[in-house]
Amino acid sequence: MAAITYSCRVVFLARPGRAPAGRLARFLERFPLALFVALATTTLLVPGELNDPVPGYAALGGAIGGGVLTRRWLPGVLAGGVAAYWVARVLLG
Amino acid sequence: MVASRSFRRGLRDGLVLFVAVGGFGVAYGVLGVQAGLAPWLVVLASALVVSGAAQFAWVGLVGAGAAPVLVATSGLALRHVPMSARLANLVGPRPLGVRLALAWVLVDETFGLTVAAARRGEADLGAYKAGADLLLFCGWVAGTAAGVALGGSVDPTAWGASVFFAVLFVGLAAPLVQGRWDLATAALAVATTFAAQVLPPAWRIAAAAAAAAAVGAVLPDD
Repeated sequence: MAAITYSCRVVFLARPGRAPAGRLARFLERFPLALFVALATTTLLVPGELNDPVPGYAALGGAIGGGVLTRRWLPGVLAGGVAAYWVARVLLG
Repeated sequence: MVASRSFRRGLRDGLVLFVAVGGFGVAYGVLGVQAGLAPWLVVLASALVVSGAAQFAWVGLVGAGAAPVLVATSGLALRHVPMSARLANLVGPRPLGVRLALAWVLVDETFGLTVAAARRGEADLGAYKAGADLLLFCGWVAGTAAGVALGGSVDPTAWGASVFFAVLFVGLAAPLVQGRWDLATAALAVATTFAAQVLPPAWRIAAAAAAAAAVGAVLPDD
């Protein structure tokens, strides 16, 4: 497991070549955003991932609200999401 | 001097990851012990693999044998290949030892911080990432050890650990949305994640992200 994971991580770092250009460069530019959205969506929006989806939706709303209020500051996003999650859980009993 | 300032900024920004990833490490440690794995092995995996997704998959599949674990790990690890290419581009020429060390903790969270730091014009991205990596690594391993010590006395699903981790990814995505085409890419990623539910679980994230980024690559800049 460690070998597979590390191999994928080190593949371009071990022997850096020319900087990617064109479509590949643009793919790599967009990939992180797509990855983080996919990771968040899997838990918060995809049906069946959570026993009760409502607190997950609340967490997403709170995280977006926290991000807007704090100009996308990571702790602000986290605080908004976590607070909204717990408020929803308390309200839902 | 520039490197040490960047390293300190990495430490500062990594503090939130120490707390968040540490909490998730507690959940992993608890579940690992509850799955019947040896406590030392659960902690060692955190130090060697440093991949929450792969390690949770391992804990979930522990009774299914080696093949499903390796298939799941491969699917989950594939997303690190484009991350490796992007990071190599960001940090530029470095001694081999430094590059190998940066690859060790090439994880979603510190990768996200590093990409955001690059957009802010951080002077030394290698040093910045090393600072953030150090705190994330310590948080993950210490959290795992704490979870192992707690053992069966807590239920991590009751605190909503998975939701907190998902919110962390929202926070990492937020600074990367700079304009309407980034927003379009994010919307595409939501759609492709739903579409990827037809695939085996281990491949969904990498496939969804790759598909959205591939379409995003043909979108114009703002």
